[in-house]
Amino acid sequence: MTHGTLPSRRYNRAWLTQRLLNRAPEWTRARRSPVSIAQQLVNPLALEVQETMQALAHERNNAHLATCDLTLPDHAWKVELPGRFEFRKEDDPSSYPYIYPPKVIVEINGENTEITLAEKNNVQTLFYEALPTRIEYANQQLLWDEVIPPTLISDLHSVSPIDLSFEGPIYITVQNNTVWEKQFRAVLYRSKIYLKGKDLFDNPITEVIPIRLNGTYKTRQNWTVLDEIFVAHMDENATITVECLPFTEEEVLDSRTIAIDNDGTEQYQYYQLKNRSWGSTLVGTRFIVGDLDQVRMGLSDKATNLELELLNNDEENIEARAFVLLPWTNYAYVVDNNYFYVYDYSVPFPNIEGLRNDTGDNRISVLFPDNPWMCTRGDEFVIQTKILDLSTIPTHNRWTITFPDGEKYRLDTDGNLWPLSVDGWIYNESFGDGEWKEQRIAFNQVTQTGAYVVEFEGKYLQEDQTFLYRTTKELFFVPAITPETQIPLPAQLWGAKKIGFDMSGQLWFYNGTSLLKTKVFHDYFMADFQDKTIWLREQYRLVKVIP
Amino acid sequence: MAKFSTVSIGFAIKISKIAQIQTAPVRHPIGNRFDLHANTFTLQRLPQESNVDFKKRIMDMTRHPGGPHYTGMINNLARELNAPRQSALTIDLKEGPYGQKLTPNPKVEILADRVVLYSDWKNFDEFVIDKEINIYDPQSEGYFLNDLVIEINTSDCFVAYLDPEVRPNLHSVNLIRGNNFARIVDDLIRNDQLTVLRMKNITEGSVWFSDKDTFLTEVAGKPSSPGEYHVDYDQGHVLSYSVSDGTHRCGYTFTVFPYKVDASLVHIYSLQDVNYKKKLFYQEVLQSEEEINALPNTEGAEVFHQLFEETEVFWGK
Repeated sequence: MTHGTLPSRRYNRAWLTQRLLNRAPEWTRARRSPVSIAQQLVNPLALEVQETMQALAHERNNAHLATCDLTLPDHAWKVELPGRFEFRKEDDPSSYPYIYPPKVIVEINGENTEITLAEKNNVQTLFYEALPTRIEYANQQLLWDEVIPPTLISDLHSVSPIDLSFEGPIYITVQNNTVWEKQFRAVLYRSKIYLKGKDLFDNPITEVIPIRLNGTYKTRQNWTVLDEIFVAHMDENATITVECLPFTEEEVLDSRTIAIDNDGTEQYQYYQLKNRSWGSTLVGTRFIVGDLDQVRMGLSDKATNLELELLNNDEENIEARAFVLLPWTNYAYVVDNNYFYVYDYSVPFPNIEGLRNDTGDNRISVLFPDNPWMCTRGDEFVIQTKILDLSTIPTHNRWTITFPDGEKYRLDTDGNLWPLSVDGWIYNESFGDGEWKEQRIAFNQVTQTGAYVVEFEGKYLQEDQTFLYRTTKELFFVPAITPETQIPLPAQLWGAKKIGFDMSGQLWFYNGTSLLKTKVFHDYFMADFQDKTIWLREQYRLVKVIP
Repeated sequence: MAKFSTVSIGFAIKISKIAQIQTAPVRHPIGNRFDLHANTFTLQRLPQESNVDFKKRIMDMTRHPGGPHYTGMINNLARELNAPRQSALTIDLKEGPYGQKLTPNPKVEILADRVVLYSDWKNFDEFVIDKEINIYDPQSEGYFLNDLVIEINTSDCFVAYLDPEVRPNLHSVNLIRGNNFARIVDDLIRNDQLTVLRMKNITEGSVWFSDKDTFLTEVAGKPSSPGEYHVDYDQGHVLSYSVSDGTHRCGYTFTVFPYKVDASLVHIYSLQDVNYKKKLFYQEVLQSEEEINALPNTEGAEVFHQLFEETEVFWGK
């Protein structure tokens, strides 16, 4: 049995698609509907551009030594094959000459295991895109305590920081603050947090963080010693917590937010875990304004735009306990009691089969105004009409809803489901007056994950007194993701409350009292057929190569 | 003429195909972005050095910069050979029973062959030495670091202690040579009565002012008439009776206490260093009681012999 999982390369919806289509007029289907033809076309192009943007941002960070990625690979292990080693070749002379990759067997924990070839047999898929294959406890633990526990600002003078658990940036979480600035004479003083201590080279440094909103802040500098912390112009009843890893923060900022505009088109994206009655979800929230002054004055807050249901390999819900986002990728590491999951947390592209035979009635728009186009199981979903052409209104209309499992039902305006045998036609009471009353349905039976298709059928009376039928279909989506890989946790790592990366990319588990050091392995190999070398990412005692 | 006949010999060579290879993998370093950053400073990654340690070594360039001078060469060599400077010794001043300074102008010099502690150093011609401790010869009283600390602690005005992480029996010649005083020539005097100078621990009598009208006579107490000024040498404050018109300059010598001395496994000696030369030659005392270098001693002969082997040396003009 081979050891190693290849990425699923699931077809996702790019966040960039909506940004590109926002250039279209507001009333077009191209802009409003995520499954319109235009968005279906742009989506693969946007995925490509997104990857390029992420690579450019990564490279820009690496251009400066202070922000250079410390997890870049700096060594590999190689097995040089002797000159007379022959790879197995394709026997059939009439077929394309093909070289079969060798079998590579290594010793893992005393057992001989065959490891998989990297997905595309190149550096990219061996070092950057490989999924973890196993996770082990690295036999080191640190007693964990916050550098400063959650303290009221009024009590901050009586608390002194303890020693840092390891060197690196410091995370400060501010909660319940309401004072953001003070005016004295003609000068405006902003709320600030001051830190004094020593950096990686024992230089005494001071850092000042101006705070704009309640949340978690990461220092720019790396610290070895924190001597003193004090604040200026903050609410006495606000709470401040200082720690070496961001365990107090409830939300994690994703790593792909590159440009932050001031006009609200580019938004911050935060992630957190949420526990529903049936399992865990990964929730993405964002600011709907670009001006943070509106946020801190209480005029605007974050809005949820995404909730992904987390499933395991058997498509059952999990009870996630902790998660961390892997920087510069779309992967999230999630742990529950016994397993370690790696998810691709991009939004999957829904199954659009149900949109076939849409006769495209462009006189009607079926909108989902409260939630853009995604929903979670158990939530209420609102479906609304918007007639665009009031000169042509239907005499009757009916709603049909197709569930993700393929079952179709008629839907009435109260949100109740009826079998297809029911006629379902609703007469337009105002047809005689030449008017249309917009319909609004609160649908409360979101019980499955997947793509729901809502059909609006309109019956139009023509001049020759015959009826014309036109259908508009819209899709709303209840996303659920399965892991790219699922690895059982060793017993020492069960029951984690939080997990986090430190400055050098080391993964730590927090079980409530201490920090446990872990090592994540990637057991894959790359075969160089020309130079007859096998490249490995991890160190093994013995490697066996069979052609 | 020989006649050749062809003889055919039939045989087959069988080369067995390799069924499997079993071997231990070899570590192979891969260049990454950090190597490019280090290339700016002609640094190279040490064998099996991690990214974090490599980054610290590169950023150390700004903290301990290199150059064609004594400390610059030590910094660069120590960095390349992975023998970084370590904090070794701290020399501070003893306090009197009431917390007062025991000496007006203290100064410490670490030379090639000895450590000199001055209790009162006014300039290169006027000084009073508290203690001189030899460190070069193995029989010297300060040859080992812990012995040097003991010797300094027996002086009148100075106290020393070792860094907790340094080895106590490290040779004292590992200490990086230097002294703890410097001269500033361009501190500014603005139109205030109280001027706070940039540095503290000013050497008495070393302060020079460009505005001779405001700073004419130094007084011990508070100035009471135009032209008088008072200098607080410990705190680096200058109080004048009148105020300077415009911005003027002043210069002074200052010392730094506590004086932190680093140790480095890299030793650099200059053959022009007067103190080092004394160790290479027998000393001859002239009638004027001046000491000059005579013939080279054993160590000196070895040094010069090595030098002649490595490079060409010319005599004469």
